[in-house]
Amino acid sequence: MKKQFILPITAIALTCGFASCGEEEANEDATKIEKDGPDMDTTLTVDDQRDLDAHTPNKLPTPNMFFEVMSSIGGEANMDLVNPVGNKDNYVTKNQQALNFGVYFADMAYMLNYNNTIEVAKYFEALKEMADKLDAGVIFSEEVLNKIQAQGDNKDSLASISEGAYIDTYAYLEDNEMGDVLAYMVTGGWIEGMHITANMIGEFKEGSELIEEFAAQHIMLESIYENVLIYSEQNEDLLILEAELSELQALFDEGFVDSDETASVETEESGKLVFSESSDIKLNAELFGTIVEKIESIREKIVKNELN
Amino acid sequence: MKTLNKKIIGASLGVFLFGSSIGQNCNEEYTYCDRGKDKNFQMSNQSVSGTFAAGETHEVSLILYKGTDYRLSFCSNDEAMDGKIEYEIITRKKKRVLDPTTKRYVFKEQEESLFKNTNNELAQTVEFQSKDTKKVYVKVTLPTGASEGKNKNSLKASDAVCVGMLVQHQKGTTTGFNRQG
Repeated sequence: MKKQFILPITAIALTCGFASCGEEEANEDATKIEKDGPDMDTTLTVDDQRDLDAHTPNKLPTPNMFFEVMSSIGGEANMDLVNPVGNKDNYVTKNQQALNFGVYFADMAYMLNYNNTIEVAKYFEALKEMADKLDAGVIFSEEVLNKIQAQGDNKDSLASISEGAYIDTYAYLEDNEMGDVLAYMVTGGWIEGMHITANMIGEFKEGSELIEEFAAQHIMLESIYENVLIYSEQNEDLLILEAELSELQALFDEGFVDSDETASVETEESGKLVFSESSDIKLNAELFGTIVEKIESIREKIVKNELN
Repeated sequence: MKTLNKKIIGASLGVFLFGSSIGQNCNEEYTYCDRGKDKNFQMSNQSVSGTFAAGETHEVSLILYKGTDYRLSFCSNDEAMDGKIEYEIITRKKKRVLDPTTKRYVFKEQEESLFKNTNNELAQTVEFQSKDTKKVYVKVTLPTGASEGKNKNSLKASDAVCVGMLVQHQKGTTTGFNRQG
């Protein structure tokens, strides 16, 4: 229900600039919206603003941030977990390329944060090739590629260049109204990150910090899901991915625990605030196993082109 | 055809634009915000810019990774608004409640304020860390009177003001003496 009445509104947002649309309508007392479903009540009140706010595209952290945190907790590099760079030629459609573009970005972030820099340049070259096919090649100039190749195994420099490339790509796709490509890229990257993390964790261990971080990723899933929903207005193929993510989200929700704990805020001497509030998702061995199974299934479909 | 409150459409457009950085010459306003002196802070992909009308409040979500230091900084292309942008960082906690109509459990959210700059001398920057990976929301308000100043950046004169929220991050640090024993 929520999805059905939110989408037409976001569709308006996608097609109007603030100056071209918003101002023209600013003097009208009421604005009308066409809706397909005859029985759908789309009359919104001020109370619905929260709902709209929550369903606007979210800006999301990079795969590098994710692996920076994970590597500070534990795990080690295992090249068997990444998508081999040789698979890049298997991705032919725009959707396949965009998904695996995200996968390769995540693989590169994983390698960099777990100090395995040997294949980074190869993955960067693959990203450049895929970016060209996605009409985003402008980000991966020869100059950037040469910089990467000149760094050797200087992990910090490589990480800085790859992080910059990810941020530039993200902005380029947003600015050029390629939100659907962006949604695929971010989802592919996140699923790959979760696949790698799940395999680094292996067996479920109660109280494991890696598992807590794995569980906390449901907040990223929420945001990614919202973005996929919004951008499916541009590319309805995204609804296939939306269905997969919705099932995954339902599994995480099974781990929800009610708590009366409130968030706390402390102030350090430096003036820095410290927020504290424990996660409301707790996983047990069975649920962890089910979630991992679902993630592996989605990841398999992404890298083997079975999703679209 | 159904009627929709125009304020909601205006708000949804505004919020959308803020969230997606789409707007006339308003994509990179955050790059003008104060970066502070600590060179270890790096720009985050979660930085945003957007077009606001005076008096409007819009909201963006922010994902915080545990143990990472964050710095938010606000700015706009309207000189009259220097130091006056209002914002609040909030968290929303989910609660499971029984819907009496459907007899099914649904999630309701409870809002808690973590920081409000109107209670802190309108500070245009704030530094914080979260002990847990979590999602917070930043509500940003452009006070009324915003359009009286003169645009200093590329946006052409109009009623709209371009607002930037620069997000920076670095590996977490803790201050004070180490304790032993």
